[in-house]
Amino acid sequence: MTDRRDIERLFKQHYRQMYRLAAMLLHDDAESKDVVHDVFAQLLIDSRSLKERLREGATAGKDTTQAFLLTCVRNRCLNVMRNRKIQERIQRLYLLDLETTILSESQLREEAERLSEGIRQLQPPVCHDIILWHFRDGLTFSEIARRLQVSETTVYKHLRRALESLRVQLKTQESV
Amino acid sequence: MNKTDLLLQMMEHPQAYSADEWQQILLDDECRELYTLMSKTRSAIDAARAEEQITDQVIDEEWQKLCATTHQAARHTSQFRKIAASVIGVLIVSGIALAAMHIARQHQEQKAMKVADTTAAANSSSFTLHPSLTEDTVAAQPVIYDNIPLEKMLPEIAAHYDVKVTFANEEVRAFRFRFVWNPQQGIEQVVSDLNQFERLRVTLRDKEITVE
Repeated sequence: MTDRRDIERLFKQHYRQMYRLAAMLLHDDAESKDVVHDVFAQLLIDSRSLKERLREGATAGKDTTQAFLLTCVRNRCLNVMRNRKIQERIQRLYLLDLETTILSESQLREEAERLSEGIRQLQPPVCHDIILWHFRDGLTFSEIARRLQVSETTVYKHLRRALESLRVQLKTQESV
Repeated sequence: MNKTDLLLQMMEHPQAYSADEWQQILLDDECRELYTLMSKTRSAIDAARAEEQITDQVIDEEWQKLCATTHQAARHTSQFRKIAASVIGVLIVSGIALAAMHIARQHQEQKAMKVADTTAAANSSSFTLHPSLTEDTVAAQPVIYDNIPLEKMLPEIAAHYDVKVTFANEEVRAFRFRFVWNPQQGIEQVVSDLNQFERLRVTLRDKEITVE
């Protein structure tokens, strides 16, 4: 199971999910690719931890490989995040420490799905636009204010309104 | 201005505020919640983008990149290993030379014979450099761990004696030093040798090694 071909199979099977977890934590395409790259580079050099995990999985009668790979990704992401100063963490919009450690990959993914749905349903359109411009396209609040020809305070108001309905969406669906 | 507006304003220029100011505002529950929600909104967008952009083609490309870099890395290590081996070779030879000179001074008459003996002895005790960390093979010859972190080195040694390793604290895992392990020696001897290092305390109890 240490064969390069086996690792290639794991890579192709789990890459998307590993990348998604890294991207959800780091919010950065290149850094997320690096993290997944490094996890596999390490496995190619030394696959004993992987072998061990596969043995355990075999005795427990289930495949724990995916959980193992995701843990590797999370740990590397946490290292990247911890090495940054608070200002840099805020700038990159990292989750605050506690949440990152507690939330599991599946929880993060579920929340992301619910929020995506919430974003799609945002009304009025200006709220929807502001969310996408800021979080997807990286426009600053002042750039959005200029684009809409309104004051920054107005942008904040729309943004807070948008986030409030996302928060409600997250909460109500959680209790269902 | 309300505090969430202040938070948003601060987020526009994170570097303009000190760590203390950040800690302070994030202590506020409402701000903390708003920030977390923003972070998760960003995560949702990242996750959706990942679905869209990480196609099979991208995955193939990333795999090719990985292959390219790991091949290169393997080549570098093997070059490094060759250099390391020749350095050790030089050290052994100069050791022999020094020993020879020393002996020569003391026993001038027996000079020729002694040098021959020492050389022979040095050859027979030639060490193998630790063959990276990839193989599980157990060497019967002494293994030199040179600048290898304890967390790599010790489990390998322990596996040979079929004992478990526990690190009582995290710092010791990263300790690096030069250690020569002779697999022919008993585990007790190895533990006692390891205890010669000032910063380590190693105990062996019931097939388990604990390191502090």
